[in-house]
Amino acid sequence: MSEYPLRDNETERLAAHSGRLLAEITPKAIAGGELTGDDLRTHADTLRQQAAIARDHGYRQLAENLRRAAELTDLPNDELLKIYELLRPERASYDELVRLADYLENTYNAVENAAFIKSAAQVYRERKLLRR
Amino acid sequence: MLTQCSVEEALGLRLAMKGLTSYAETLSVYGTEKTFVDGDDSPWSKAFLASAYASRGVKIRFTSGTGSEALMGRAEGKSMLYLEARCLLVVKGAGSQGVQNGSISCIALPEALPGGVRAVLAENLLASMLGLEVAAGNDALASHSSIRKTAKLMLQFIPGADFIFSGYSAIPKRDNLFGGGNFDAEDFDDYNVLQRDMQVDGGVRPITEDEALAIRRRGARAIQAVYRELGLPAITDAEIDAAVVAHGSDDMPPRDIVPDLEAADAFMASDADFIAVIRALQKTGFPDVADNILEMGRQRIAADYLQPSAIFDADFKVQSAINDANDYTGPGSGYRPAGQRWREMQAIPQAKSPAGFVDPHIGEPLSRLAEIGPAAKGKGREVVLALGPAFGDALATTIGGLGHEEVLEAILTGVASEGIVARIVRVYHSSDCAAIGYVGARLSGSGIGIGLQSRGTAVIHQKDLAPLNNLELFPQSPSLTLATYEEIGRNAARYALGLATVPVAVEIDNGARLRLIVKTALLHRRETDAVRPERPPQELRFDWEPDL
Repeated sequence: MSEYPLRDNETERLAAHSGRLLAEITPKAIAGGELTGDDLRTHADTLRQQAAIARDHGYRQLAENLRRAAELTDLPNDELLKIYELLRPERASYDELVRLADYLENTYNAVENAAFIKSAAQVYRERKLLRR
Repeated sequence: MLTQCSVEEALGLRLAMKGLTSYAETLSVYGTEKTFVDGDDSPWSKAFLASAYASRGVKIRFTSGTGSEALMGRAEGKSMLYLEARCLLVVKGAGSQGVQNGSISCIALPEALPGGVRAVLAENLLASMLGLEVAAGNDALASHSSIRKTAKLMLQFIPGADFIFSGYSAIPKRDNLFGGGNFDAEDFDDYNVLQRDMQVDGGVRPITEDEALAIRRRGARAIQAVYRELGLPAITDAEIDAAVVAHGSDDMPPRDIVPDLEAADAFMASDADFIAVIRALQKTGFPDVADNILEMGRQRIAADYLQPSAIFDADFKVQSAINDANDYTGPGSGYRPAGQRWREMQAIPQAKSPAGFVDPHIGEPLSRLAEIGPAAKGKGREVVLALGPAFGDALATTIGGLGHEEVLEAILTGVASEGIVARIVRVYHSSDCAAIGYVGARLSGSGIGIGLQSRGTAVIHQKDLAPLNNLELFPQSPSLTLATYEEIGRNAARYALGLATVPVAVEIDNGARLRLIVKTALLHRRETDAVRPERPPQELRFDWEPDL
């Protein structure tokens, strides 16, 4: 099991979304212009570790959220914003939501998000929250 | 720069993606479907938003509170607390680590209803029971009554919550877009004292004015430097000078904000993010501020602060429900401030040292007052004036600042005005006013004595009364003047002569007890320190003749 907090106990293993190690993310590296936004973003593996920690401490729903978040780390910002927009009431048809779920599963292996969006599609259909 | 409040959900996420914010908390949820839809969201869109934030390592809190559904006309006949319970289950189910709740901006509505404030406390408790981080409201103005505001605050202040306030606004009410905080910067002094009164960690630390000004100046300079470095509209030195001491926007020079808004839009549309801000701070002499912001980025990589109830200490060590769980199991358990934190909370700038209370009352022992031997019982129509052990010796003035020498002269003048004399004795075995006066009465030939403590409290006693009884008591020593002491002497002489006597009128000051109780306690301690239990009362000679 991971030792919490990871910042202190797994300092040497922690890497950013870009793969750059935490130890290389220094004031000097910033000043030298070596870093980009991807070097200061979290990695999917880290979020999965945090999800396991949350689950082991009895926070089941938070763990599910963090696992969905891990799947979303590879999505570009604008795609995230677009998906959020589609999930708002009356934005998408049932088929559009199902297609979105399949796209996430096939492109990013985001199986948990896919299942989540399909459950939304189901409920939106029952509650008449799909686009008219 | 690291805060975000009251912006549209998608913009909140974009700010977080740029690294400009490190947490977001306005993910509002509602207790009925129609309210949710009116808010242009569903539990699924909100849950997805929560995951989107977490995917960028950004902490979030959902928001809910009693009254929102009723305010939006969609309560469907359900009670506010019932609907709030639903909200909290949505929050939990969506996987949020916590919630900002406690009616929040709707607070005035439950405040208007019977049992309404109790319901607000109940919703905080429900959130706690669900294991959610609780930021327990108290932000929005709940009432204009300071008593009701404070009473509501105590519901979270005393039992505790992760955050007593969701955000304690320092902004003056007229500048506050939320319609004004329940407490704001004007209340910091009182709030610091409440922390000290209750030994409750309310999250605030008293600082001096100099510290506040230095922090504000440095913050303003850092923002000025970042603006310059990023090519944003210039901030002038005059604006800095004004901002350091400004209470609100009224105190700032006029500024053309259209270019500011355009620059902000351009920054948001560009690829630039908080790395540009960190570099700007590094280049312009703010390496420590740059390091702090970079550390927030590094913490995003570790993602430890996505766990429930996470905070950072001063060294960026995360403390959350994972490594610092709520261990409250009843009285005597759970978190309470101790050690350094408790000392910090006690150090309010207006606190005074005990020495400062006593020092003004210390002087040279009275040279005109000399001890001549053990006191004996007198004969005839006299008054015995019995002094406390420190009178004219360890202490030199009364609590009201009257010199002990002048007080003696006044009392003796009063006694002499009725044609009799007073003997003076010092009582060593007690510092108690009644006991001192009782000794005087029992040594007096007439049976009438005056007891006088160093702080000026006086009593006229009679030998056949019970020790704690008296003929006249003058407990409000700060109000006693030399004229009063002279009247006390005169009345004592009249009792000794068996004359009809009207009690001395004294001024009652209801503020004296609050103002002077600490000083009273400290002066009484000095008196008590001079007690010598084995030493009998001693006769004194006071080198003075009545000026009659």
